[in-house]
Amino acid sequence: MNDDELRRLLQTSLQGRRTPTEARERVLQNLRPRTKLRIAAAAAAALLLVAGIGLAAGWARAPRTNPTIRRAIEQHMLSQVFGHAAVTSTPREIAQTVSEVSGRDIHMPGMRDGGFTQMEAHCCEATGWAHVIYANSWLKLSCFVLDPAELDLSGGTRLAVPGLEAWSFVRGAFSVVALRESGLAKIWVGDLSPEHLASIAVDAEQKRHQMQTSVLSVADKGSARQLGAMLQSTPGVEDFQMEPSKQEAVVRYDRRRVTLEELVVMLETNGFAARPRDWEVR
Amino acid sequence: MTELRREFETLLRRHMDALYYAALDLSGNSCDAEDIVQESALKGLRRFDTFRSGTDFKAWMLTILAHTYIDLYRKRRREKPAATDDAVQAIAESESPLRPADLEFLLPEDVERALACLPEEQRAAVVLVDVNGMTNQEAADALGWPLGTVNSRVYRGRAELRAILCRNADELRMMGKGTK
Repeated sequence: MNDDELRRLLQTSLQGRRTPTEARERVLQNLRPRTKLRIAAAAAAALLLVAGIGLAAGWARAPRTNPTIRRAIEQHMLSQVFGHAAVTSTPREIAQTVSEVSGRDIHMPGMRDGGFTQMEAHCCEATGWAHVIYANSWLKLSCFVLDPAELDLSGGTRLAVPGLEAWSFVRGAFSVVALRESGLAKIWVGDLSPEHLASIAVDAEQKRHQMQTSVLSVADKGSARQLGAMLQSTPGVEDFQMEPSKQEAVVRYDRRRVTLEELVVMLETNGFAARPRDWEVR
Repeated sequence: MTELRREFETLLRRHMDALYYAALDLSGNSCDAEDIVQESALKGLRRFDTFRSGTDFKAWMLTILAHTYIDLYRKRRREKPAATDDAVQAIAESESPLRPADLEFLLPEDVERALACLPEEQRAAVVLVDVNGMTNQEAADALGWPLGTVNSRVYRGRAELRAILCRNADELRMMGKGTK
């Protein structure tokens, strides 16, 4: 393949991607003048002053990071997976490793929406926890799955998330979010602000309950590749697997962002004769 | 100013997708991409009076965006672990070249992932030149690198991209996961 062909491949593969609506709106919103900027700035300065005094007062009595959280950060730092490393496990292999280590069938989110890739999963020798590593070119995130009995929440700040037991911790440059739910605990670790990590961890957890898998029958075998390209660029589609021999596409999607009906309409609008099977896998 | 702002916003809306995904391809993650677009938009708005009406707004903003990215990259570089250039280079040298038939097995997602696997410097050069259509000289100006450096990074980036795509295509072929 010569340079021109490679350039064409890149441009045709990457064209047509749409900016997430929320990101687009945030960017445009921040460009607009703020009439109450001065009042807001004064209020923010006053709040910062109060918060600063509070922090200074609390600094002396701030508890040391508890052992569970410290171990999670250590294991996160010890792993040798970086953003540029090749992915060593498929999502299926990762799910299998997590199930074997934890003894539970656990869905680990793909995090593709956030620009992350599932890199690998292993059992931490020191702790026996399942450790799933996500990365992009800048950042590495760890998600540990463990028995809730091992979870020490001392020193954490409870996050106000309806329907979710979540705590946030900070140690140096690292933020940690611990979640507890139905006999299972997860600890997320990353070199991110606490708010940012919390939003990732909470979204991943909430997404778990919103994922739906449907099977689409593809009438024309030849259109499978184009159908894949279309699904790939559809917001809310977490994962899909083409089954050319059966002329089927198994699609996993976040039903908060897209419904099966919307998927079908979108495909029909684009000329794909793909219909949902009359049953759903999950 | 209001008129200028409105005109800038109209143009920005029109080119937002290209700018956002250029930032995403450059940085590799959506949070940084949004920050880069945000900062570039503010810079662009401040300098919009220097933009000549009728010229290419996307190219003008891409240059600002590349400057913003490179500032972030330099800031982060101190904190990042050493890149695995050697490992990727070894793959590039050991793999067979990408054949047209391999393309049958590749989806856009595979191309996006392969691009994300390149070291930052090479990815930045390839994203600006091959994905966004800048000339090597324009990319050199935007990134603040010498032209020779950009030439070499585009060359190496393309070689490594071919190798990664070829390896992915081979894996997909072996797994029977192709869509043909």
